[in-house]
Amino acid sequence: MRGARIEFRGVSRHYGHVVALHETDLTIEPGEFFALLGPSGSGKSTLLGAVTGFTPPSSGQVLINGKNVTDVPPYRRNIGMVFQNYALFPFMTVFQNVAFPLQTRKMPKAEIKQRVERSLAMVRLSDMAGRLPRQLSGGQQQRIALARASVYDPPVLLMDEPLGALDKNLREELQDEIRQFHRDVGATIIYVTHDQAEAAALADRVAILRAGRLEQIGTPRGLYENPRNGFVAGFLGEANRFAVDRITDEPGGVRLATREGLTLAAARGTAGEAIVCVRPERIAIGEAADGHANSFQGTVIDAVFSAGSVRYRVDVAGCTLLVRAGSDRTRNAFDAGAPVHVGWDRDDALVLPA
Amino acid sequence: MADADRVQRPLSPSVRYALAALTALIFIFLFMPLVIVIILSFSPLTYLAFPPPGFSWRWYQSLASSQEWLHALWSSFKVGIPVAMLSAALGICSALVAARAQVFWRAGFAALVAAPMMVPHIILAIGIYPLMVDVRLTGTFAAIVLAHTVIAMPFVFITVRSSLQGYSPSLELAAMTLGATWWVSFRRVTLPMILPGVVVGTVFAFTASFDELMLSLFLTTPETNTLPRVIWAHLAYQVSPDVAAVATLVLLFSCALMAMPIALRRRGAKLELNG
Amino acid sequence: MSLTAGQTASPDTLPARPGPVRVWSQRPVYVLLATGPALFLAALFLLPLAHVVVKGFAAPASGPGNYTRIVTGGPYLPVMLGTLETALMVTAVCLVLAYPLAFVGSRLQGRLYTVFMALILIPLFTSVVVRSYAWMVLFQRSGPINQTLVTLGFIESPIRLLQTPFAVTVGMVHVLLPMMVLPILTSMRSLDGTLLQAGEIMGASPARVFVRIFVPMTLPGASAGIILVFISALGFFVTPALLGGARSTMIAVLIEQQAVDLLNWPMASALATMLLVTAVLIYMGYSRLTRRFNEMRA
Repeated sequence: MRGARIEFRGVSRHYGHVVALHETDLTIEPGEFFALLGPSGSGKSTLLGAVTGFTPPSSGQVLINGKNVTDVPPYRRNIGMVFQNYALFPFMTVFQNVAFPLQTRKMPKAEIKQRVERSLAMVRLSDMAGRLPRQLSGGQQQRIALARASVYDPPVLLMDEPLGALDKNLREELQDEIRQFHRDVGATIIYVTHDQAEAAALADRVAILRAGRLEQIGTPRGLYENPRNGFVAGFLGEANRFAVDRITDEPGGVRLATREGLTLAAARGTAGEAIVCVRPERIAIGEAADGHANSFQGTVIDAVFSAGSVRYRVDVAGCTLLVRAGSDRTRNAFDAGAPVHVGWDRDDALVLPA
Repeated sequence: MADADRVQRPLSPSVRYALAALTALIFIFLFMPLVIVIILSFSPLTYLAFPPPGFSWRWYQSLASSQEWLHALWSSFKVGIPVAMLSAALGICSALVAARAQVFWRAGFAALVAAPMMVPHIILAIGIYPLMVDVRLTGTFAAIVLAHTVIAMPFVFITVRSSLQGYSPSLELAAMTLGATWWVSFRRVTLPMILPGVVVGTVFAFTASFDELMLSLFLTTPETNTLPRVIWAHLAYQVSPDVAAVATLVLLFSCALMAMPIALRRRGAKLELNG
Repeated sequence: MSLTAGQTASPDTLPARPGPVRVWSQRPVYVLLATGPALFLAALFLLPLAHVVVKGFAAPASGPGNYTRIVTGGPYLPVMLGTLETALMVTAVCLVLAYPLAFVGSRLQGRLYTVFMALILIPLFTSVVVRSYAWMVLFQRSGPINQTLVTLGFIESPIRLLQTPFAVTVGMVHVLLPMMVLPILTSMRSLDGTLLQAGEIMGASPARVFVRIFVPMTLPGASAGIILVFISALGFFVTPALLGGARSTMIAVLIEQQAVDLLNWPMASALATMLLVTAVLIYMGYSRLTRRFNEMRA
C-alpha cells in the first residue's frame, strides 16, 4: 500500500475578519479517492492549499502519515498536484516536463529517462515526448499533467478541478482514465471539484462543503440516500424540495403541510425540521403512481428525453414537480399538457433541516 | 488577441486617403529632422548649409581621432552597462514582489518603484547632487551609475512585471509541488518565462542611461562626461557638423538596440498566439 | 511507516486541537526581495526628494521665504504658468496627432504592423539631445526651413524661428508624440471588435459607432497617454534650453540656472518642490478620475 493518510486537525483559515474555512477535522485514509465538493468559495481550495502549503492555515495542523507538515515547505512535502489549467511548463517538451520533478530530486540521468518513458507509456503518450505542451490537445495535456504529478510516486496526489477546462465528452472519458490511474498508482487522491456528478463518479468518499464548513462526509451513495440537510440533498443530485409549515403525527408516520399548500405523508420527521425532499426518480408517474401514500393529480408541463430516462416537469396544484422515469417506449410516454397521476411512498419523502 | 480574430470593417475610401495622408505627414515630421542630421554629417563645410554642396567623411575622420568624443563614448558605456545590470537585478526583484507576493504593502511598493518615471529629472538632479557631495562621491562613476539606476530601474520593473502578469502563477506553484525550491523554481521556470521581458527592460534601462543628460549635467566631471553631456557642451558654442556626425552614430546605435526588443516582441507574440 | 486502517492517529500524537501554528510561507522570500529595491529607492529617491523639499524651506532662513519671493516677483511665477501652458499645448497637439496615427496602426497586421511599430519606436529610442539638435539645425536662420520658405516665396528673407515658443512646442511634440501613440495603440488593439459589430447590428452608422463606442472604449489609453505626456512635458529641460529663448523658457531650465549658474540652491529647491507638488497633484487628480470612470463602467 503506497497511499498516505492525511489528517486535518482543527485547520482554519482567516483573511482578516473573513473566515474562508472554519475549524475543520478530517481524516483521509491511505489510498482513498477523496473528493471535496462544493460551490466556489466554500473552502475546498483552502483545504487543498493547506495540504500543498500555498495557503497556510491560520490555526491547526495538517498531518501526512502522522507527521505534521504545516511548517514544511511544499517542495519537501513529496506531494503531487494536477492544476486546473495543468500548469505545464510551456517552454519545456513533454519529456522535460515529466523529467522535471525527477531532476529536482537529483536522480541519475538514466533512471530519469527510464521513469519518464514508463510514465508516458502509462498515459499512452510515448510518441509525444518531443512535443511542446501547446502542440497537444487539452486531453493530452491533462494526461501529461497526471504523468508529471505521479512520475516520482508521491503518496499523495492533489487534483484541483483537473477536468474543468475540457468539454463534456472528453471529461467523461478522462474520468474513467483517472479511476484506472488511481488503481494503478495507489496514491491517496484529494480531488477538488464543483461538479457533483464528477465527484460521485470518481470518489470513494465525498465531503460536501458550504461557506467554509464541512456539511457532510460519506460515500456518494450514502450522501445521496441519506443527506443530512437540504443543502446536501440539493447539491448531490436533483431533488424536489418543499418548505414544511406544520408536522403532525399520524399512524405509520407523520403528516406534513408544506408552505406551498400540499399535504404530504412521510415516514419520519420532527418539529423544527424545515424541508421535505423527494428524489425525482422516486416519483412514479401514470398507472404506476396508484397505491402510494402520496398521490396527486397533475399536468405535464414538458418532457425532456435523455439517454435512459425522461425528465418530466409536472404541475401539481401550482407546484412544479420534477419526475424522472425510465424511457420505456410503451409506458411512461406523456406529452405536454397531458393529465397524469404522480405518487410516492412515505419512505421516499425525506424530512430534513434546511 | 490574435490578429486573425480581429473584427474589422473596411473604411470608406475618403477616410482611407485622409488617414494615409495624415500618417505620411506625421512620419515625415518624425523623421525629417533625423534625415537632415544624417545628410549634414557628410557635409564638407565647417558651417551648416543645406543642402551641403558635396560629400565628405571629414567629420567622421575627425571624430575617430578626437580624444574627447572617444572618451565620452567610452564613459557612456562605462556608465550604461553597470546601470543596465543593476537595474535588471533591482527591477526583477521588484517585479517579483509586485506580481506575486501576497502582502498588504504590495500596491504601495509597486507605486514606489514606478514613481521615478513620473518625477522630472531636474528634481532628482538637485536632490541627488547634495547627497553625493555629502558622501564624497561627486565626479565618480559610482555617483552617476547610482543616479541613472533610479530612473532606469522602472523600465525593467514595468516590462518584467507585465511578463509575470502574462502567465499564471500556478507554473511556479507547480514547480514547487514537484520538488523545486524557490530558487530552482525561479531559475528553471520563472526566468525562462520572463526572459524576453528582462532583455527588453534591460535594453530600455541602458538606453535611458545612454540618453540621459540632466543628472549627468550635475554629476559628471570632464573625467566622467557621457556622450549627451559632451554633445550638450558643444551645442553651447556652435552648431557645427561634427555634432551631426556624432548624432548620426548615436542614432544608428539606438536603432540597432531597438531591433532587439522588436525581434523579441515578435517571438513573444508567436508564443502568445499558440499558448 | 506502517499504519493499519484501524489506527486513528500516529503514536507520537500531538495535542488534539493545536492552536496557532508555525507555518511555512513565502512571505520571507518576498520581504527579502523587496528589501534591496526599497533601501535603494529610500536612499537615492525618497531621501533626495525629502532633501529638496526641506531645503526649499530651510535656507537661506527657515520659513517660507523662498515661496514669498516666488509669488511676489521675479520670473518665477510667469515661467511656471508658461510651463503649464506649453505642456498643455504640447499635450493637445500630441493627442490630436497620435489618435489618428494610433488608429491607423491598430488596423495594420503582420509585417506592416512591425514596420509601423519600428517607425514609432526609432524616434522614441533616439536621444532627446540628438533630436533637439536636429531641430536647431532645421530652425536656423540659414536652415532648411527658412531656405525652403524663401525659395517658395512665402517670405522675403529668413525669419527667426529659433528661440521662439513655436520652436519649443514643435521640438517637444516631436519628442513626446511616440509616448502618446503607444498607450492609445495598446487600448485600440485590445478592443473587442465584436462590440463594434454589435453596435452596427443594432443599426448605428459607422460614424456613430466610432463616436459612441470606439472613442469611449479607447479613452483609458488616451488618458494614460495624456498624463504621461503632460507630466513629462512639465519637467522638460533639453528642448526648451536649446530651442527656447529667454521668454520661452521653462521651469526645469530656470531651476537648473538657479542651481548651476547662480548657485542659489534654496531657490532651486523651492522651485523644484513647486514642480513636484504640481506633478503629484495632477497625477492624483488623474488617478481619481480614472477610478471614478472605472467605477462608472463597472
